[in-house]
Amino acid sequence: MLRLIYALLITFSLCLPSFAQDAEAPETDRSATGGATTLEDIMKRQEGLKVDNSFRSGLTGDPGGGRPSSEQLGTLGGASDPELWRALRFDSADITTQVQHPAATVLIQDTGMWWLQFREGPLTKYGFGLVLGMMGLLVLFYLIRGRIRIDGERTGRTILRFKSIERFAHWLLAGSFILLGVTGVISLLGRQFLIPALGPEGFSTIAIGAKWIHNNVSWAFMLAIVMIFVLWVVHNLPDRTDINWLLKGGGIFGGGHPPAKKFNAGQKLIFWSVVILGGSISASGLSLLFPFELPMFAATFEKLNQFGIPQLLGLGELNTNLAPHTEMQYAQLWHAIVSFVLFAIVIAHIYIGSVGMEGAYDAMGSGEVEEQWAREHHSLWVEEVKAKEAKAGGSS
Amino acid sequence: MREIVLAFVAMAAISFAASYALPQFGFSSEAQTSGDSVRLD
Repeated sequence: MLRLIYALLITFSLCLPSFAQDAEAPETDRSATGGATTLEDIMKRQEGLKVDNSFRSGLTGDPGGGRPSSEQLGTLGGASDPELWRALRFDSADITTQVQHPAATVLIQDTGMWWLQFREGPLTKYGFGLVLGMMGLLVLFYLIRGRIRIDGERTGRTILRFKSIERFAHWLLAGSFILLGVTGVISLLGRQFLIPALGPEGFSTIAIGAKWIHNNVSWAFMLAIVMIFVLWVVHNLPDRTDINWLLKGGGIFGGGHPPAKKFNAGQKLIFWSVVILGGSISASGLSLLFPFELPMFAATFEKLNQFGIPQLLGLGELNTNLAPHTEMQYAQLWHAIVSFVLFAIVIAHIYIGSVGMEGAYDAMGSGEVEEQWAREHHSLWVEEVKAKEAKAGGSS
Repeated sequence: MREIVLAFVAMAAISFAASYALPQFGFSSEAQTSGDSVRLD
């Protein structure tokens, strides 16, 4: 176990230099170019370092300051062409258009390339790294621990663990999540991996189908999250038994079975992960589903700035003046990052609910679990059920 | 098993209903980025 922790720490530390490089961006002396872009700026940009453009983003001339065109030697304004293009690039140009599209006044979107490169690079690399890493850990866990068996002798009696509506909500969530995951990956990686394999036309059919499924199945996913929240929130409120369960590691590596109610602390963590991360994925998904109509990030950044969280992390104040496209790009990145994290968590849930633990699948399969299994993993819940049965039997 | 089948039937029904109903109420990303919504007038 200690070796595993060391291995994880070393792996993590290897990732740090790339972040450190991103953070290092020494001040540039621009006196040689009279304050204009220098070779150093260009080199920094090519190396992927952050370039501070504040020295020129405000140099957009004085559009209203030129001599009126009706006069002799009149001009079309007090801004030169470079100044006009700079204003367009840094989204400060005063543009009017008859086009009704919400983002029609943005002609150059400065952060677009960063988004594209991040999407095709680190997002894909670390996202799949996380998911594959989790799969690897589960395989390792299976090899070390094996399948968690029912320790005691089977009673032959069963207890109803989940009612039909609960199982329906679970499978609606599970089915939609898997479909959304597969179609999401097709959308994310299609350009890089499927077009070279299938060609543009072959991929087009798949992409159109994946987009339709992703956009419309998302409603079933959101409904299922609401359903499981309503059905199970009462049973997932933290209590004292969770501390004991966590301290004993759920009894996974021996040491007996810590008592638990209907849901143990591990299951509660899964529940809240699904509700919070699934809710966040839904919110960013809605923002993507209705382009430019539901911008969320500028408002979120403003709140974070007010609480001083980015400043505390050394990020400085976050930019709250975001172009509509930037809002969409942040929504896409957030949507994908949180989805990868939730996917990694859910893989562990699928493992323990199927091959990882004997008798666990029955809870969501038939709804009936072996009484001995229930006594070992949810002893307090079994006592509650038995007490209710005795009370009902006594009163009838 | 019955619940799994029901969940998939419900998922298909919800998807087709959303696909049909949302554009009827003007909620359509395609409608927002084409046709009348971007016309010059």
